[in-house]
Amino acid sequence: MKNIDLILKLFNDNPDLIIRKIKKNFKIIYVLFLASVSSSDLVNKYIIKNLTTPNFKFKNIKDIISAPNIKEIYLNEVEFYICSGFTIIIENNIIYAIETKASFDRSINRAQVEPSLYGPKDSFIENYQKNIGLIKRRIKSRHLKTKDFILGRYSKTNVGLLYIDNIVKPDLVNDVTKRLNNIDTEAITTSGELKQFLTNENKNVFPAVKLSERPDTIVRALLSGKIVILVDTSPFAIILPAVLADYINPTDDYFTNSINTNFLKFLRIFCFIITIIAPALYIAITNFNQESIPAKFLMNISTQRFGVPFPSIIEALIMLFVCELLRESDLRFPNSYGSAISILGALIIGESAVASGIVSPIMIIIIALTFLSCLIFNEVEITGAIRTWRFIFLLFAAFLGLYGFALCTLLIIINLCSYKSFNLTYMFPLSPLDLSYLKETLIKTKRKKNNYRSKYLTDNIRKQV
Amino acid sequence: MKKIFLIIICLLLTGCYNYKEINNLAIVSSLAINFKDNNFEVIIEIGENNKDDKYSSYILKGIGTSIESAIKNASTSLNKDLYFINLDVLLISSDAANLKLNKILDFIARDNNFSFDYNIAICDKSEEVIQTLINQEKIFGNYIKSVYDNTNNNLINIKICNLLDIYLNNYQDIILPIFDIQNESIIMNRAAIFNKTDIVNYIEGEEIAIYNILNNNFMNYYLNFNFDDKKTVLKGNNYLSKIIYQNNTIKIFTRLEGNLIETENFDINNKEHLKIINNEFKKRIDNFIIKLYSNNSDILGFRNIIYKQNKYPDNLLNKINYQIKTKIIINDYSLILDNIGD
Repeated sequence: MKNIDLILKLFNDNPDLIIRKIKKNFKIIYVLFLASVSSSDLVNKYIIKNLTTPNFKFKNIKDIISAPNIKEIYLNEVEFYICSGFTIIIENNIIYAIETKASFDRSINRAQVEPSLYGPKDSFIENYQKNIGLIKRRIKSRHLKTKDFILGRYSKTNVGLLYIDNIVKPDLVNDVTKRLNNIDTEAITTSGELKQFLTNENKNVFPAVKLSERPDTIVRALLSGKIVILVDTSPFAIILPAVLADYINPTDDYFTNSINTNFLKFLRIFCFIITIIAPALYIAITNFNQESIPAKFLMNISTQRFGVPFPSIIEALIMLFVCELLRESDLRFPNSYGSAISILGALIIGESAVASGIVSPIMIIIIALTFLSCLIFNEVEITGAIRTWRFIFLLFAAFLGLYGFALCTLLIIINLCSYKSFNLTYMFPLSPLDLSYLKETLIKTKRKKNNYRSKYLTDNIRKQV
Repeated sequence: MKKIFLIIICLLLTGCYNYKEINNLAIVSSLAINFKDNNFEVIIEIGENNKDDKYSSYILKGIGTSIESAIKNASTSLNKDLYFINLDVLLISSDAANLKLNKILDFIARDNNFSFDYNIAICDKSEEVIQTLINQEKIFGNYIKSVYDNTNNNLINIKICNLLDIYLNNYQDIILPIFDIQNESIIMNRAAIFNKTDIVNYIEGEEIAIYNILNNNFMNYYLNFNFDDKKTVLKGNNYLSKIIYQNNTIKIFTRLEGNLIETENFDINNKEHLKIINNEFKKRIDNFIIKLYSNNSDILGFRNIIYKQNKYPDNLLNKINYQIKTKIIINDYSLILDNIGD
């Protein structure tokens, strides 16, 4: 069977497959492309125009095609190339693939999830090559390496593993390469999907890798000895390994004065603790350990709770449920509905809930404090982890009071200290203590004094003199 | 899944043993214990916050053969649990103090529903005293606590933990402040001194100041010195006292620092005049100790100091020799040395 027949058989019931049969030099040349993924203009400009010019003789078809990317391929590769937007030319059973991809890209936009006041405004888009370009624009070095992978039996998604070869630890690259090679799935559509294959999902609620849409954050990560994975059609890059301290350290911190930044860093750590423990601590103190509240405040709380029919724990669960509901609906709904939801939420929580005696005003303050503190973290995975631990704390505090609260504190410390992200302890740089990474994340020192990279991430520790 | 199930089961089976909703608590601000006709009478003041954001309180009264039964009788009709952890003041009548102090302290020390951080005082008109402040829309316990916390007035400040500490010590006697009422205002400037468990005498005014100075209890004190035609008032702002046992003698060292805030015919530059003040101060301490000796009331803990050194203190206070050394320092920074108009 001829190649063309085989291809036609492969692509039956694909109405967007365009086939042109051109007679040239007493031969028949087949031109095939998918109208949905290829650009008709490019096909016309690079191929059809040249092939249909009368009295234009050639020995090799490569000589007359003006496209920059032309490859001779095998029959088994046809499916991949044609679906990737290439145009296939078959001449004498020899198959050529010419890049004529249609552009589905949007322009480079401002970062939506990680906005920055003084940092660069560009962010990744869905185009794999352009995303690599945004990184290479910032690191002009031959040491920036990219390993390409094609993942997904159906999606055949381009996945790139980026690292700086003289900074990163080779073991880490080998480990991640091995994990990527072991992935055998039908489709990888986003980086969020890929990250689940890279980490031990369900082992811990805290994320072991970090997603970022900002090229400058990615560059920082690469230069500190981390690995970055880019996925075609995804505007987010994966940074690994990622530890808890990375989430308390937005890139904006690099642009501001160290004293002011340290205050903000302290505030974020405080918020991280408050958002997990606030409802649980309130429940523990008011239901079990009232002796820790000053008498007048105790009387105030008692008066505020007058008429509330539910126990405090049910009250807290109702409020947390309503707030989670509002947050989720605010995320999922189109922006134009956002204000309506806010008004509705404010009415439900602020006014009606108190007026109808379902919850007490003090509980609203506690829950508001909890959710406000959580807004500091923009990563969905970390807020999810915080939410889970908030409920665990609440459960322990509701049953055992401050004793349960202390028990749960031990539990979270043990959990965080025993959890690893690609052989890096999750409480790093606190455990094991590493001053150089501490200066990068939890504390900001003078730029001139921050001369070393972490020895746990790289063997090339000197970064400036 | 098994682990989670196990944790939930453990929590369900072991939890909630001391669960209390905060609005089901009656927060006791002050408690008065009287002993009359072989029965205990308790007066419980419960504080609350009105919906109009005003603090108020009300009184419950109960009589019983024991303190616990009296409290139970007082709270029979109350729809909340009595909560004594935030108790601010415990008032004991003189009779209760003389006859049943042992039992009262035993009850408090046993019951874990009490904290150890409230003031204790003697008051024979406890209901009247508490009611007076309630009528002024104040919570009695709270008010007394703020008097002790926020002012440095010349008062005896005895917390229950200090009282227990002294009471359980065989070589020291207790002292308790006395609250009284006069023209609808509370009087707090007296204190009862004990010999063992009996009230033997009372001290007030400058004697309280001397007791506080010797015990290094911080407070504001004003000492008036009048001799011949000379008058002066010393406002102390710093002092240090040390009581040690040496060569079979109790030695008392007191260093007093302050300003002369009022003077009449008094020459500050004259060292003789300052010496007179010093001697006068020493004499007052001596008189105070003589009063304690005459009542055999060891509230300064002389026997305890001796016991710590040689384990055999004399049972009679009178037999202990003592020596007093005082030093008065006048802060002369920016002091006007001459009287205005002289």
